[in-house]
Amino acid sequence: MAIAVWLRRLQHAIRLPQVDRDIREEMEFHRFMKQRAFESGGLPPVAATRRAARAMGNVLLAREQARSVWIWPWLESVWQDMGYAGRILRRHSGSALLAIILLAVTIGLNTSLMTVLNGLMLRPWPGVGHGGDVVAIYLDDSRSDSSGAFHDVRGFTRTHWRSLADQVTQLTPLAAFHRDGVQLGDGGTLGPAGAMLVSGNFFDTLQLELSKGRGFHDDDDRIEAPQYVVVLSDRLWRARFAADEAIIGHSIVINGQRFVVIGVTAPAFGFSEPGTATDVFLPLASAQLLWEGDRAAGSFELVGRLTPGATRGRVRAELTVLSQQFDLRQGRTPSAVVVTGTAFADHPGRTPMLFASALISAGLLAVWIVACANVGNLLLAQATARRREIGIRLAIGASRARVVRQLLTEGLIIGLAASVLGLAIAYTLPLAILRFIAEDATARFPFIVTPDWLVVASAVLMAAFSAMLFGLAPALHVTSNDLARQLGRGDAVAVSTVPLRSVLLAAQVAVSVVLLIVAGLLVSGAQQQTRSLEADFATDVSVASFAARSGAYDAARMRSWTTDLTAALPELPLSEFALASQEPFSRLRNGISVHRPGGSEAVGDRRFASLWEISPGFFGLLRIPLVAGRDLDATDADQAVAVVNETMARRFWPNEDPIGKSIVLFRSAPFVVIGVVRDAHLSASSTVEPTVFTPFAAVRQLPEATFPKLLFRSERPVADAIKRAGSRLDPELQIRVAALTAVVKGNFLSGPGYYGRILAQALGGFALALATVGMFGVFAYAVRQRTSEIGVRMALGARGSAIVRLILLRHSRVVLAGLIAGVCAAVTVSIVLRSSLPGLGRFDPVVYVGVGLLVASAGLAASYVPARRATRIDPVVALRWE
Amino acid sequence: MGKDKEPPDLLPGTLDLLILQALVRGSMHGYGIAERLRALSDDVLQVGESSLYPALQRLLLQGWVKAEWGASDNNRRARYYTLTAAGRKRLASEREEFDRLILAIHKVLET
Repeated sequence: MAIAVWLRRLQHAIRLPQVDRDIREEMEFHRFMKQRAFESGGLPPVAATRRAARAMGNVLLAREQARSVWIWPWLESVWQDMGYAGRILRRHSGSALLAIILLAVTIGLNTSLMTVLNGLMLRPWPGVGHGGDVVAIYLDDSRSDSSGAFHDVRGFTRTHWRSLADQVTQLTPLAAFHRDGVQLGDGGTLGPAGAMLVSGNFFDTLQLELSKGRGFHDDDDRIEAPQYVVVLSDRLWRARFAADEAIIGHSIVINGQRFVVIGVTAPAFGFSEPGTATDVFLPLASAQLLWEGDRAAGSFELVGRLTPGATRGRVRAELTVLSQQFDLRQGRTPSAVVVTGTAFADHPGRTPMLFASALISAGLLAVWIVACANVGNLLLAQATARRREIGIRLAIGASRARVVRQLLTEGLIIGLAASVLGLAIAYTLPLAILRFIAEDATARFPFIVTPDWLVVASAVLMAAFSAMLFGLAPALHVTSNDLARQLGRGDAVAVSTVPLRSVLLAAQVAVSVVLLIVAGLLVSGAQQQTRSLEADFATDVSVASFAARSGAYDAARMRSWTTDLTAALPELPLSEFALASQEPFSRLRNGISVHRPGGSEAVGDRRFASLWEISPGFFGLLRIPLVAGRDLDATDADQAVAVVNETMARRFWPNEDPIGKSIVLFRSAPFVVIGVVRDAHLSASSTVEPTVFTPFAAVRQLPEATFPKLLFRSERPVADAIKRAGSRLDPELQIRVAALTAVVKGNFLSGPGYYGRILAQALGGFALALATVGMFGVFAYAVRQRTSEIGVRMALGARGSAIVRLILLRHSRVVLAGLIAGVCAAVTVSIVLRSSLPGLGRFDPVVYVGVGLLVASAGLAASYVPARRATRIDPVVALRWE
Repeated sequence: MGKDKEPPDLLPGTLDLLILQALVRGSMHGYGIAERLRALSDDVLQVGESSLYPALQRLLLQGWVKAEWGASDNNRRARYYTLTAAGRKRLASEREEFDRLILAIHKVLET
């Protein structure tokens, strides 16, 4: 029965206009019949008509009640509201469109940020079964020195791993991996590839899906009988092997050896480090096949899956105990164990990045507030302009709630339209930005950068809620029951500026001021840094840098190359030259642990210094004076001697003469200090760090062999000569020559600091644009509201300029209030952030004044058009304005 | 025929019952139903349009009557309502229910 009822309801709902007509005709017939009854009772036709009509009662009400049997009134009223709101918005389409676009861009930015954060930093490894149960395990390598505490972690050695794996109970098989670079292919197809050497239980522990073939078993990873097997990543399989279906069983060449492909991973597996996507998976034991020496021995990263009921805390406790027992057995200082999730942001030492993201989201949230305030002002202006219409509706009998609901529906429509547009932005923006940063238009990332349903839903909700929230106050205000004011000439009197509108506008101005000042301080901070860099040494040198294919040069080859180059250099027309492991202001920081011979290696006692490997002539080239002892010279090559800078001398040997003292660098033999040089800001930081200068290759434990940089000064251009000399030694070398100042500029224009500044400026600019639009809206509205007043003044003889001054003066007060509030907030914010954001410059009056002027001129620009419009008002028209 | 006397309040649902009963003898339009009820009850039950037509729509919704446009006796278009089979069943059950109720009220009032 109920189904039949519903069917009938549906049928009638579809034909609702027809139902209306039927009911109306019926009731008209009823009235006609009544009239005929009166007539036949003796009344004249006119009187009969009147009495019949009176006797019918409220026909309209009856019709609506009859109609409401078929369709619920509230549903219909919602539909009516939407239609009405649509018509209204179409009439004010300009400002509505503007509000929608602004809100959409803000939503898009916010959602993009959420997506990137979620996909990049907070998600555990994708493609892994039950990723939340997988944990990464490190050894705690934190250290503290005079400039603060560093949280860092390091990996495990093979024996350490095996000892833990055999004994741990709260993790299923503990797997180990090691990331490295290999050369894939041979001949013409030779190229670098990212490799992950994994233990035999890696695929099982992670429950990695494979699209073809199989993963590794324990058998494949036997150190005494290494297997030539490899698993390809989905990305490599498609890119290099054209998704060849028959790839299993084929062999590929890695580092000159043939490996058999036994599987291909599913596309979903991604590693959490962006930019280091893995191309091939090899067994750990195959390290000995790929490289000479025990290259992979030192540092394995461990990963395991929690057994049911285990927690990270308990795992950490258990592993710490086991690990420290192992350390003590080996005679080493025990370290603590760190257990984290596998998300990018979980890695200790990533906290600055999380903090930066938090800052960015705070900035975006501020912009969001500004956009919402804009929407609120827009809705308020619209609603106020329709006060008369609303007053009439209230007078007829609409309940206040009904009218408020209708006004809110307008806000809702704006919000929904904005969220649709914003989501379109959010789908395309993150990928575009990441590709821009990676400078690769076709990069694909092993993590997800499109919003998932949760993000989408929250974006839509945010938009709807904020639009309605900011529409609520205006709606309530406008429907307040002051009918006289609504319908009468209340507009003629200068109504005091609605505090709400002014507050919103002042808030917008304040927020944009804060953002702009922060952006300005970041820029000025970076400039301060570069300025302080030029002081202490000669920067008129040039840098030649060399690069080769990875794996082409090992330590021995590098040493012989360096010797050959040094021999070839005197023939070139260089007035002075020297070799160094890095160039001044380089991003590369070679830190190395330093302690006295026989001193403890415990974590708390470790000290760190920057390490520079140099050739004799380095200090002379850069005009860094020697303050004690002697410089390195040609006889010191390969010797365990070192020169230190003043800061290091002060810190390590306070009140003593460092000359002749010994230090141990990482696990080296003792180095003797032979000289002390003046402090110089050789690195990119604003403070001088303790620095050790040694001859090349004296510290043998350094793992990677990198090319030294050639620093030189010359009268004539020698770039070509250098390139020719370098090619003679090795034709495949890539050689670049640039002035040091160009390098500095390059550093200034790239890297995270650069993007941070760009982002801050973009946010500030966007906020200012929003605020300007808001100011424009408010000014235009004020002019419209006071049109009749302006008409009166002009009729009495006021000049156009006086009118303009009148209007501007009132609203400049609001803008000024916002400016002052913004400056105070900015000062507070910069003080709070100074400690955590090193790029923030000190108090820079130029920035504050500049931003103030910028905002003021934006306000002036925003008021220009409305002010002009005000002066063009014809007094006669204005006086009749309603 | 104005509202000179307060019409008695009907128990809810009774109007539906009365309308269904009025249609037992044959199809009628809305005005006819109201007149019939008034005549049969000696002017006591005066059903206004604001209750009659919503009630008719309700009956239509539930499928107890069906409606058709036809010509009235003076050749104007009028909508005639007819009792359906389901309507007859409903009439019988409502009638029973109503009788029970009245009996119960009687009993209470007789004490």
